[in-house]
Amino acid sequence: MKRTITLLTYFPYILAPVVFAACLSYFFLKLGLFGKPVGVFVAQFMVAFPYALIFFSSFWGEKTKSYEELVATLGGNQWQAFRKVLLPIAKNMLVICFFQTFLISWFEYGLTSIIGVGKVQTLTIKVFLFIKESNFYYGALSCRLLILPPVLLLYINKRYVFNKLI
Amino acid sequence: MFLEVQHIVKSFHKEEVVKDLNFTLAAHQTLSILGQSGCGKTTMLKIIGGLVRPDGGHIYLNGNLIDDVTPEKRSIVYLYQEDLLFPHLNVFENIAFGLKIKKINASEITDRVHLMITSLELQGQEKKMPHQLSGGQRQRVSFGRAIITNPALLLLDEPFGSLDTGTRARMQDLFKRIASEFRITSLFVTHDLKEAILMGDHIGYMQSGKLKVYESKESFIQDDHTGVQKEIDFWKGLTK
Repeated sequence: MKRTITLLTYFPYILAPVVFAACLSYFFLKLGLFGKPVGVFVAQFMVAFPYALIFFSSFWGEKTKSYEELVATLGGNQWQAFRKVLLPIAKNMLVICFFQTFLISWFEYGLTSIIGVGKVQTLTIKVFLFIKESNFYYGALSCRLLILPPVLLLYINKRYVFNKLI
Repeated sequence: MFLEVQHIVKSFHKEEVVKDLNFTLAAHQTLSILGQSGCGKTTMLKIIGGLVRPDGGHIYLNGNLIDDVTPEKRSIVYLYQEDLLFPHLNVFENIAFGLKIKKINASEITDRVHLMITSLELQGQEKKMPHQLSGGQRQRVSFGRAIITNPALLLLDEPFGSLDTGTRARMQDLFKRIASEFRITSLFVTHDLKEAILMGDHIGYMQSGKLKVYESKESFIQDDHTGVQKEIDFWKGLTK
């Protein structure tokens, strides 16, 4: 079961985003999600979530199981093991994972443009539109806006996460 | 007897890992169990600790059948070879962990932890994080974290296996002292012959899932299977 799920998590990365979107189109049409913000949200989740699973696959190893068992023999239940031990241990990984999945979604173009069919416009799609239209001023402005959140997250990560890891 | 293990069996994928395990242990005594890697020692400890469910047999602790008691309610602490200190907590918080879980009031926790820190000779290290400690210090904190909860039984799975010879000897002395001071009942698993003899009030030898507990240390030494005689011959041979 675990192996099958792990194998499935690589699926969105084996295919090109446009091909992946084409595969999803049929189901999104059936569900009435095509061209809707919810549809784009679900599609982006289907790319970002497997990445998070891959990112955390090494965390759920023997050592984590040993921590859980240790807490149990010390008198703690599963919730206490999760809240008082596993979550604090995984805190830095969670922040980095959030940062990376945010970047995946933020810069996603192919999937968003097909599922959103031009009706749902993210900043990344806008940048491409402005460049295609040779609208250099708006293009430059949107590029600057596009880079702002990642720079801010990079600063927060460096200030509060990476420095603590070293 | 305080601990009674009766006819425990366990198989993994048709391979019988623990075969008809039977032994008893009196309160405040240590049974050291010697065995090679893969002989079923860890599985045996995990079954007693409630972390692995046996295929058959019964375990009685202080006269009570504990087969269906969950690990958190057994009052049996299992210590791994690795110290498994919680990396986000300092020495004080690591030792206090089990007490905080049991919602004991803060002033009592502080008193008991300071007492334990003194017993473990860790004064002045309270605020240090695990990565700032040596291997021996980490193992001491791990002991303290387990013992402070007053477990009915302590299960030690090769706890000094990763320590150097000198630190190992000091930790053996410390454990003997702590076990006597806190009147601990324990099962001490090791693959080190000398450690098995030093640490246990009684000695058992585990081979291919079967455990034999010896009546005395002399009978353990006399048995050819344990390898003690070979060890003695080796050292005698060197002195000739």
